[in-house]
Amino acid sequence: MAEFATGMRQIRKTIKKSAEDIAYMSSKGGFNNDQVKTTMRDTYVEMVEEMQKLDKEGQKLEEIIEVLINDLKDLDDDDDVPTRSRYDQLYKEVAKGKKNVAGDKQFFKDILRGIRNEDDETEDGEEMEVMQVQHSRKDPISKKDIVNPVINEVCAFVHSASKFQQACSHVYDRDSIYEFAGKKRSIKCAMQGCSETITLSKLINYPEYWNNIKQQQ
Amino acid sequence: MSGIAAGRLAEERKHWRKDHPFGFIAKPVKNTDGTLNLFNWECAIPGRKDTIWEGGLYRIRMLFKDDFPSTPPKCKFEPPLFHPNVYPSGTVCLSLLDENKDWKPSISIKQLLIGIQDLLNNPNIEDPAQAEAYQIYCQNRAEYEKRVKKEALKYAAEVVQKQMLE
Repeated sequence: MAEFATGMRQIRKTIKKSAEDIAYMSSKGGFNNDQVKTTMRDTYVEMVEEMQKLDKEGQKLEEIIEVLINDLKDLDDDDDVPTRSRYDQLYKEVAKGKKNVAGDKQFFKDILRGIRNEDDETEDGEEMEVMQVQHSRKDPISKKDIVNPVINEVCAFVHSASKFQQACSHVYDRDSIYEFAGKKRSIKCAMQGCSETITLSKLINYPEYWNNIKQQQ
Repeated sequence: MSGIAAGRLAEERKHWRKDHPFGFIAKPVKNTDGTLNLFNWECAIPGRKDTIWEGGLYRIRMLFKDDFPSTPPKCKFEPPLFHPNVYPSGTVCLSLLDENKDWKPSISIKQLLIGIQDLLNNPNIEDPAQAEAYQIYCQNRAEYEKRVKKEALKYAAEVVQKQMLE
């Protein structure tokens, strides 16, 4: 029984982790099409809401198991062994709200707010302009069309904010930036107004680039 | 390194021929054998409308080094221009053209020429490069404007255009 309770706590932890992953995905965005963006946001919200329900259900079971464990501990010879009816009775109590079970409300509230807010920001006109500059067809160094898009991603995982932070989101062509850097391990970003340093070993492929530039054409 | 520079300069030329701001000129010089020297460009910047520089077309040479675009080109007015931020040699003093200041490899020739055009009417008094224009600008603005308008007449666009075609 005790193992069951531990297992349930693990499951709830996993659910929360998944919710964080969705928040991260949502923060990455990458959809220029408004309709797609709205659909994706609605889907994310729906998923997180479902997860919140699961979490709540999980906590209910946890509470019930705890009561049942205590029942067993206090068991005297002349007492009845806990039965299915005892479980049903406890479940009803929990469902009626006699016990204060709501799952981790605040946690999910923050995540949902994160997903919705992120979207409000990208609907801002100024933000859209930045997106357009980011996804020029040309490599900033060679000024040729980008063939293998790469982006600088720093794995600064800010746990409380539940999102990855990109050091700078300027896209380069892999061959071009490597040739330009030569023997250097890192270079200053070539874009005007950007003061970030790009570490070559931290460049990652950025196939989403192709979706973003199509919108501009 | 020069591979990057030559490739990039060829792209710059392609872009310029496709589209460039009205009144501006920018072209690589020809070697004696008729081939292009992409590292040496002859350019010209028109004075902006509704400024004291209007009507003039100011010739400027851009010299690129092998490590371009790591380093900016050297931009030199030929002949030297009467302006607080132009050295007596004609070289332009501008943060955008300083490797240790605002130069970035992504800046195009077009952006540089527009930046220099903007500098014409907005001199930076913090960073003077020639005594004459600087002193007159600070001490006698009416005289300064008179001198600039004289320059605009001296380098009248029609005349300079013809010169550049020769």
